[in-house]
Amino acid sequence: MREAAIYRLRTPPSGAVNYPYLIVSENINQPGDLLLIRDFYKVKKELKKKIKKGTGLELTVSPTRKMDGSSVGKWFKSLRELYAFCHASRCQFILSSGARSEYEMVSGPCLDAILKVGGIDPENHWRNLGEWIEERLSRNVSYA
Amino acid sequence: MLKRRSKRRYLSIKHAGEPGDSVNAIIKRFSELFGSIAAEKANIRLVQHAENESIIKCRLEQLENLLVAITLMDPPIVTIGMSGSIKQLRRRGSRVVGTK
Repeated sequence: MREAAIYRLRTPPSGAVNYPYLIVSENINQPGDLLLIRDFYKVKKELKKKIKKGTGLELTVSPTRKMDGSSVGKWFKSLRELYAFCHASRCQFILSSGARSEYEMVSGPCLDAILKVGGIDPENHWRNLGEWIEERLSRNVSYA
Repeated sequence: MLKRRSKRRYLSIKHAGEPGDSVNAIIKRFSELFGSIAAEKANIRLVQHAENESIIKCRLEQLENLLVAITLMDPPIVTIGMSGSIKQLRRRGSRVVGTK
């Protein structure tokens, strides 16, 4: 177990645990703390109907590595629109690396650069995300 | 009037394969995403390299675009550090030695 790490779990732990965690889901019908968005345009209509206020909507950077220029452009458009959607529906926009190894990890300044290119103010984004995480973790506290 | 040198930033990156190939791949990805003119303006150059770790430089005004291009590379390249001088970059823990 690593200090200062927040664990991403698919299902809530059955008993009390010694670590902070968030429940991650890819299914709109069973959203946890975080809902992973693979293609925003495919799920937009459903999201409008079903998403609960305060849910985190997560977009990952990793799929863009394999995309060509025009697809990356569209991805940036979806990033902007998802951010606006989160703002309107009082959800939390989350941009993460989607890394599966240390070589795919993305540094803070790189995420800032992606946010800026996407027209999002990084400072504001990280502040809101920090507040959201604190609020979410306080709900999930179940220390053994 | 004084002719000032344009500001630049040095980036320490971790990559697989040859340093020259990695920098060329970064320039190619940069051109693909932001255009050839921006890529020329960025003036991306390999400064120093060691095994799997290199220092590259670029113009400050294109730094954000370069960071985006590096982040969207396949195979992945990791940005380890960033500074206005190589000396400062080394002080922060870059293992790149003085080979050009």
